[in-house]
Amino acid sequence: PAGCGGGGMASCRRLSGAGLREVLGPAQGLLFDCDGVLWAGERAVPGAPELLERLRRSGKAALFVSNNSRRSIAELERRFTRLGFRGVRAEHVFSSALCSALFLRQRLLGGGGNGSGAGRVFVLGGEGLRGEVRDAGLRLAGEGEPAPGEPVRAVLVGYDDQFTFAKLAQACGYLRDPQCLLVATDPDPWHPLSDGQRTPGTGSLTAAVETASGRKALVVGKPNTYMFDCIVERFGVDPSRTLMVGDRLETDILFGKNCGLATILTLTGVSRLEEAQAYMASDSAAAKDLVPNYYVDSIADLIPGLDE
Amino acid sequence: AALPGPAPKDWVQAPLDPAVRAVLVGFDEHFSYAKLCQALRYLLRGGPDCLLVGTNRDHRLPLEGGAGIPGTGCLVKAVETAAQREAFIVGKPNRFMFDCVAGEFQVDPARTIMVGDRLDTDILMGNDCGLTTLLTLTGVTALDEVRGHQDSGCPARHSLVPDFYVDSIADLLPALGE
Repeated sequence: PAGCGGGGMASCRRLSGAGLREVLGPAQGLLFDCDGVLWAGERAVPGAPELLERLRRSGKAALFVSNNSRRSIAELERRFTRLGFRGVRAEHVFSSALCSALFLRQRLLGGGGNGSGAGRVFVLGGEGLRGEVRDAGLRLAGEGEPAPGEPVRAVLVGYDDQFTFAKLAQACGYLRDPQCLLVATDPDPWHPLSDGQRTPGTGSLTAAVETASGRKALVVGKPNTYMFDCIVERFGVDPSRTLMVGDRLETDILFGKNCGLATILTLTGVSRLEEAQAYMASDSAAAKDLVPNYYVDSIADLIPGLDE
Repeated sequence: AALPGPAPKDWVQAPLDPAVRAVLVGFDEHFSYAKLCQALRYLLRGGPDCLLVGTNRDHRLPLEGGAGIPGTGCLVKAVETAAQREAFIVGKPNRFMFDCVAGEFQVDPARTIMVGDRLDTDILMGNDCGLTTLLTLTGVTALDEVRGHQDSGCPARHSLVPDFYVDSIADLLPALGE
């Protein structure tokens, strides 16, 4: 059966008209990044809820893969509803918070069993992230002086708007034990705010922890492929029949490339078309991996590619 | 100043000081996400017209017993990563501080010894500035680290090798007068 065109050199073609039907027709499902793709701040991208509805009616799967480690899955599910997206269930949503918790569960608990003897996790992040780690059956180290008892077996760096020097020092103390893992939810250096300003991302905090500890973090989020492994484990998707839709070349598009998915860049978020074109013109092999197969101005432009 | 709200989206509404033309990152035991956020705002507002300067890149400040606390280098890296630009580092191994000293004190590099405990700052600066370099082993560096650089085939690593070493600077006393 015809695939979606994920192999070979990407050439950043605008997707419209007949090309749109050729690409969407054979697709069994689409993976969507969330921020900058489905919504920007508190506003849904116009037409995005309708696109998801039309995908459902066409029998195509829609799954969501986000590097945002602030919110729990339950909060994300409520956000979809609040912003006007119907029919999105928690099991369809993969965030770096959830996948980091699953990763730590695998590494510390061996994928199952109870928490005893597994050690604790020191989390640099908010309540959404901490809740996902707890829900995975892991125990958290408290802030301030460590209580006697189970050793800390992992430091997890996420988006932490309460990050301080003291927490950085505490993390380094735990990382002196070479058995203690250093894990980061995502590599994003910054995130856009609705007024065009930027807020520092997990990547900047991870850089501080890596520098202080002399260790390299295991990064769960895009462009690394672990989140795709979580998706495949739960839903068994076929990469050759799945499209990755995102707004950030260095995370979403590279993630698609790394997982063997054809990629669509949408221009309602972080990356500009000129940046994709610059990567395409570059001589470096690494730059070529950041070029999307296709682009659209907004995911609403995909609607005409689906059957009535 | 107090933060104008609990979340970053509140903090970024606070007015910026129009006179700020540089962000300087030094050792800050009160470093926080909010300060990182503010630094990023100034750097984005000013672009290349706002300097990004770091005092040094040291990873750790050693304490007794092998413990340590995070060094300024960690905070510099956090700002560089968020802003996606490189800081100008004033401290060793950059030669800026040597130039300050040489400018004030008529220093002849050929007759000057740089004494330090750290290869990638003290010794590297000394070597780059044409000084004789002397490593003391009372600090962060162990001798086998030096051997490693010496035996590597890499010219950049050879710049980290001192001319001489002592176990402690007290070992210099017998060579001096009296």
